[in-house]
Amino acid sequence: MHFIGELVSLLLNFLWVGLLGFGGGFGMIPLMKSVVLSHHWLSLGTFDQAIAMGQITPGPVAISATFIGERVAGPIGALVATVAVFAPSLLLIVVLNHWFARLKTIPGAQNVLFATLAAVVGLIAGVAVTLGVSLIHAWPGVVLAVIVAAVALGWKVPYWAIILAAGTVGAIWFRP
Amino acid sequence: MPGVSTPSPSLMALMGVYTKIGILGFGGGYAVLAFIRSEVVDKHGWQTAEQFDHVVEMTAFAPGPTTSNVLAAIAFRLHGWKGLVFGSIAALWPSFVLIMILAAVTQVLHNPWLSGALHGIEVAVVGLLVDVVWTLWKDVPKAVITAALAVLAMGLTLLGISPVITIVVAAALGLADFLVRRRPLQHEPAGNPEPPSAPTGKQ
Repeated sequence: MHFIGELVSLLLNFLWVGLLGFGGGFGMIPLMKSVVLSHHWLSLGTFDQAIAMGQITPGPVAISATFIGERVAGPIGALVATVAVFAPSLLLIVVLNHWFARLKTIPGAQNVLFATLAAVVGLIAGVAVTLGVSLIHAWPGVVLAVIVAAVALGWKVPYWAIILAAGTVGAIWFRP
Repeated sequence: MPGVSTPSPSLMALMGVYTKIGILGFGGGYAVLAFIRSEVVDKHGWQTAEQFDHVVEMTAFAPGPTTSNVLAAIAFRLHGWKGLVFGSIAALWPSFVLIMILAAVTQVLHNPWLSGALHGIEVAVVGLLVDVVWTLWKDVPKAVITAALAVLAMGLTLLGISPVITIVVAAALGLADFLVRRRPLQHEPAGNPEPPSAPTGKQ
């Protein structure tokens, strides 16, 4: 019974994440964080790892939902979370496919879209600060985070390569 | 042949190409969009370049990852609902399987090297999000209201307000902005800091 309850909770919460995650896959991160922490599904550190796992695998960021679902309710949880996170955008794509030409002519649609995107940028910045404050406790961590940001901003190195490199550095540098 | 749309592929052919994209589509965002374009437009001609650009433009108005949305929209155009469902499954199963393996391995294995590596990865995500913020901000038209909304959203996050509330409020303020200014929020043409088509008025 508890298991069924967790599955229903995963389903409903990830449908919300999928419905409101504007701004591409990364727009889902603030919503996922809020859902995961409010239900005490994962620690902040494990949530952060889920995001990283979504980056080192091919495919979109939203696949982090699979990792979260697996931790909450095993393989079935993974399946439920994955279907729930993708279902709303796939349904909306079909709606847009029929109505996009008309939507573009609605005055104000651009304003709503760009205002939402601007807020999503701020939300992700807030998540970055929260994760940084909670997970980085010492100078080596600060140095690594700054180097990662600089490499990503300056040289456009793919994220998966950066994460694998940071994992290697961590295995040597952060080994307890 | 680029630019010429050839007859629809079979569902199996579509799923084959989507699985290939699902396995090799590392990097997300623009990198994968370029890969999808090379397969769907240049190599197989299932969509013309114009149709593909139209699909990408359309997905900006949908939530969810751009890449899976673009793949889903093209599959829907070629094979309807069946294409949408099976195309998405074909594109997503490789990452799904890989994530399950990673989740199992990181759960079971407990050794200092792995803990160190996971901490390194956690720290890296913080740095990468800085890049995400900067990259997304470049796509937002620069205006007082967008800057104010970004700062407000960040502040509300730090106060622990649910992002759902923030997103709904931002959308409402975007609508209010249009009702007050009666002008679309849009990117200004390069090299012209003046608002486009602003009336010059009396000198």
